Amino acid sequence: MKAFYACLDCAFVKYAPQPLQHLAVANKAAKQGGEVSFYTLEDFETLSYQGAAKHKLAERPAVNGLIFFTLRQFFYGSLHLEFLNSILEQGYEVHFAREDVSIHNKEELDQIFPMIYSSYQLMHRDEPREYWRPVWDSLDDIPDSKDPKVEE
Amino acid sequence: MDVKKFIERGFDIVAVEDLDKLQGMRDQIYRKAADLMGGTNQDAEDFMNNFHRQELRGPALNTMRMDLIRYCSEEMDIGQTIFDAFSDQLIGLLGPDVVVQKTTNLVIQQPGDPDQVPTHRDSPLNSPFEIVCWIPLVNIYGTKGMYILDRDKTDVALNMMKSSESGYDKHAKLTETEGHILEMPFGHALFFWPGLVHSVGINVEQETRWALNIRYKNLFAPAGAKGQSEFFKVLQLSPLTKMALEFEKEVYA
Repeated sequence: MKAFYACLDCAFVKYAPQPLQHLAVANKAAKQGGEVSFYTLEDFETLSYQGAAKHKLAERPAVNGLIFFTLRQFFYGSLHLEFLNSILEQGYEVHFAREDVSIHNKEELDQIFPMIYSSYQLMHRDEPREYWRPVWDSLDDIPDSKDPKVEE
Repeated sequence: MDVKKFIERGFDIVAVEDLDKLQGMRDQIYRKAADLMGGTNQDAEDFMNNFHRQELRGPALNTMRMDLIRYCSEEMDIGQTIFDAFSDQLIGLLGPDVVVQKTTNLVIQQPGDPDQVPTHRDSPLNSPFEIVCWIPLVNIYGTKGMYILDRDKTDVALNMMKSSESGYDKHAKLTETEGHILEMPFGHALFFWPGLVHSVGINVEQETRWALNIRYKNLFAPAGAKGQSEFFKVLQLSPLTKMALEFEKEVYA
């Protein structure tokens, strides 16, 4: 049975709580014929360069691959294609639970690059920092839906 | 496709040029469904139209439907087959860089079945830049189909929905009374804009409806709340986009 290291997304915990991310990652591991051996989470300070994941990888964990909660973890700060390449070059598979995407080698990365690139561009172009605010504002009984400073 | 009509109404029904493509797809789905039901000597159309005689209901029906959806999405390339069958229409509306929904939905609506999708529109949850392709696998008429409002009537329905707490019921009623009733034989596709309100009533005909639905979008059009890489996969790219992506890959590598 394959073993995977899970890399959860701390930036997304507000919308997908950690237990839910564990479930999604475990499901993705099962689909790959394996299970999760352990997990890590970035600090907010390391999100833009995936410091915790890189640190773990440097230990050469005895797993078949890494399962990230979402592809977006490679979009924080920039498009981290270099890190994705480097994981594959070290012989690890890369999987994404939220998108149900698997990349086993560099050829598969080349194949899926148009989707990765367009997802990155669309996230930056179409999702402003306050992406969910229109929903909160239309349901204006939610406490943090209005910024008191801009209320008349 | 009559693009002017499509833009005015938000939908159009198109006959496939190469019926063999859709027939091959239907036969493959039929063989899998028949296999799941333990075999049959009926032909595809007879099997699907009379599926209710198998008396599969509730969770058992849903399990079979989910097995078929998995089969259609993972074992068959339905997004590609439908695209090939209607590529002129789809490229005309979307351009040459096309993504397709990862999962193909299959709906089986048996006569008298009260379990049906409520009146709804796909967008804004889905991107308004998508096109929905609805392909019946049997002949569609009367209550065996669905009701769809054109753009003007959709505006009326949405205003009703906002106006009071009974607005949802009123807009659902309007959809059933004012909605376009689909009359389309197998071999046709309904293309509609995802902002249109549509609904399914109880099928009171004597035959079961089988229909697929799948969505297409331009690669670089907004993805909606369902997400680009979560909901779509790449179907085809223009030569220029391929060249530019090679360049961009070097930038980020």
